[in-house]
Amino acid sequence: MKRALVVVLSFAVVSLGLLWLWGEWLRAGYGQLFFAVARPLYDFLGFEEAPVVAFRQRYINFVPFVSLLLVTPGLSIRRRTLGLVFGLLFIFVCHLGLNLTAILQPGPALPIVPSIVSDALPFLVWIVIAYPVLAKFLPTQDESEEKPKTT
Amino acid sequence: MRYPVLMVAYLIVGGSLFSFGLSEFPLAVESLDRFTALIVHQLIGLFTSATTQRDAIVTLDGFAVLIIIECVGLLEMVIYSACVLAFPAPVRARLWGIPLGCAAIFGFNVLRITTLLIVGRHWNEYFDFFHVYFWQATLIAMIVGVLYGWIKIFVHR
Repeated sequence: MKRALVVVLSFAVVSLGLLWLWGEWLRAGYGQLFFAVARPLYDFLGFEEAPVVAFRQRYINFVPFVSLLLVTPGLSIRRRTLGLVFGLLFIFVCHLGLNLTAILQPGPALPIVPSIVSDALPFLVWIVIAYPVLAKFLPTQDESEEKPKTT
Repeated sequence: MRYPVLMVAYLIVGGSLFSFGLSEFPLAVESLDRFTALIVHQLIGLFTSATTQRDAIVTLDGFAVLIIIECVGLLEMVIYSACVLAFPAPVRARLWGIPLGCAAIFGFNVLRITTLLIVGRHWNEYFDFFHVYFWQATLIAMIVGVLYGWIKIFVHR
């Protein structure tokens, strides 16, 4: 219980700090990077009509991902570091893909399904990277099967 | 890798159903907005009389928030339900986990909106910061927390 509380508090502290950094500097920088990559890429792929909304609020999902990965206990430094690098890269690629769905429903917000996928994205990537730790929570074969009823 | 892949599949199905519900049942969606506003109003009303509620708008001492569909916790419930459905647990545990977990998420969400109202009323300059924070970071914390509780109580008992 005490350990879980420490993890929750660490998550709160780290995510608050990262959110502040995001709001102050990272969001503007990320928007410029996104625009610089997305426009030529979409043109190359034949999506010239795709709007590039480089400063979407939903791109903030980097923050919970990094926070989750930093506070997860029991991960090796190598896995944490590589997870951060590949996870951030994967989320960036997903942003490029999710932004394309704006073709279906133009506007400042993403359509509903891409919004849900976007919100769940940090959680999903974290599950894959932190799998060795999270696997301890998976039930064993016996637990995952319904026990037969006795008469 | 099976768990995340299954989860994405359930997310897409759940999200599509949710999207269909939004377009086909707008009155039900509005009722849910109003219901959430009413619960927030009732909760704040336990501590102060300086609160009002009209349709989906709640005020605290002059500071007003409008509850829209993205604020009622449904997106979080869809994500949480996808996590539970994809999890290798007995069917009975999943059947208990979804409604109870969604109720817990609704409760957390009411607390989130209440906190935002208090921040907006007393520390208005920090409202935007906390609005974004409570939206993304606590969304994940809520889902992880409720899922952890469900696994501890219903799967590993």
